[in-house]
Amino acid sequence: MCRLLASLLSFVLAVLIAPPACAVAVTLNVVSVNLLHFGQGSTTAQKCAQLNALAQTTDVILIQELMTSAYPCDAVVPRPAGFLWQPALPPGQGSYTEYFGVLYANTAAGHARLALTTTAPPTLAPNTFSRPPAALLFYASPAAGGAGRYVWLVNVHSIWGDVVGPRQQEARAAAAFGIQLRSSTAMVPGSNPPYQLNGATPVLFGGDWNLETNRANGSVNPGFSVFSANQFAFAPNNQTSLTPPGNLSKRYDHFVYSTGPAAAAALTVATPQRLPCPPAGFPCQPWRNNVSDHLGIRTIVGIP
Amino acid sequence: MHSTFVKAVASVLTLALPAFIPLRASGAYFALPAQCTQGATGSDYGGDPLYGAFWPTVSIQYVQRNQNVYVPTVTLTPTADGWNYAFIPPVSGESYLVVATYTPFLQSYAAVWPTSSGLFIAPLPPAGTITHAAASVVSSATIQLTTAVGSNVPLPYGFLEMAPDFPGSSPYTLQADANGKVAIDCFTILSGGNNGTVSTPDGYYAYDASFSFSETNAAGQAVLRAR
Repeated sequence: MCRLLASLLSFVLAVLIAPPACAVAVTLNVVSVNLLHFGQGSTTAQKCAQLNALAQTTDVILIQELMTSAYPCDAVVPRPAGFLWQPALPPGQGSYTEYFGVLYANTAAGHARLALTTTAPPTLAPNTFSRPPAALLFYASPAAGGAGRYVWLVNVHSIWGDVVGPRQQEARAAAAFGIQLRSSTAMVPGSNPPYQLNGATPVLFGGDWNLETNRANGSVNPGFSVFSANQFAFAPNNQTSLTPPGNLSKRYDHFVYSTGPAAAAALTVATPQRLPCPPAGFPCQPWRNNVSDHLGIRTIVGIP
Repeated sequence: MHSTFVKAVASVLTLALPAFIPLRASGAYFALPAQCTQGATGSDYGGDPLYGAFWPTVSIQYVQRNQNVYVPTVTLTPTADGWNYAFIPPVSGESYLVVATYTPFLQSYAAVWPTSSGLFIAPLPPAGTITHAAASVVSSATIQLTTAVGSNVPLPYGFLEMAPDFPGSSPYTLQADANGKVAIDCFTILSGGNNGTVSTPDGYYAYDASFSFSETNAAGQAVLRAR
């Protein structure tokens, strides 16, 4: 749609001052990865090395299954220059508490620049999630400078449970949450000049949903039907989990992103795919042994 | 896990153990199979051996108005010979079921009765502590994957996912061989069946099932099937 609109507008661009409404203002290279008990055990250094390698070509890394609120790598290897860390704490039960984390470029050369706001997300309905998703509002600016855009980045790690029903229910609840985020009209604290969200803020989820988005016949999994009915799209649906020998197994890691209803909320998402297995392909046992039972996923997101 | 299970465990322990005694470990001890300390399936969870740097997980629950309620905060502290857990009982005089998870297939159970509302500290039940009368730890088990629940048609190279018994846990994924068999070393057989999810060889969801003991194979291993 954007291409069509851009083609039509190209005839009159000479007399127009404003660019097409759907032009991409900011591009983000985003990775999402479940790092399997990140911060516990003896493999933290290997995980950190992989994160630093990923950060070279990535603006934002959404991390699931983090076991400490502090950035585990700070005690192991230097953080990539110009990157900041933001944890989020979903409630746990018992001794098991998982955090989410976001590693993001703030002043890193050659990267988009992200500034975290303190804007609180809409309140979640009680008891809808075993592990509520963590939504953060960022102001993202182009690497080359210039005006930025607000975008919600949301970390997800769905419950498992014993059967598929609760997993699907959590995905539907996440869709309701995404709609709330997109339509928020909250004031952004500290914005100068004061800025109020316009009810059409783009939303990008990344995470381990413990659920495939589409079935083998291509039909949408009932868990993702609320997303697809409300102008959210999802990808990839590749096999991203790994068995102990490092073979691909389940299709659990996905981005979910707003595609409307207003042009301002329509993200363009390019080539979402799983990360390659470094360095020698499958079976991906070194990664499975030393990093995670999930390969991450990557995409390039255009914010209008 | 259903509240009836919590009650059943508490009931068994009430008969078997003197109440109001902080327990070193409660319930029946099984001689832990050697496979549980050397090469237990899932002991690479986090890349570490069963008794290594990896922390076990403990969850504690009780029954309130016929519902299982989890104690929200439990801390775990390493000791010279194991672990201590600590929690503040939300309800004093209540029995609490303690579940310690060592691998996705090896959990230990205990029940305790804190006598006050203050901080309760006790040693974590070590691996091989089983309180549920009908549960056992076996050195190895074979889970037979089939194309559907109740089917006898094997599902070659299908995936089996089982999750540890605590809230927030993630599933551990294993792949069947050409005969649809999944071999697991060091496995806790639960009396109510072990829940799992089966997927096709290309990674699509097939069905959820409870796997229960079916027979012993020629190698002397317990065989579980979806019922």
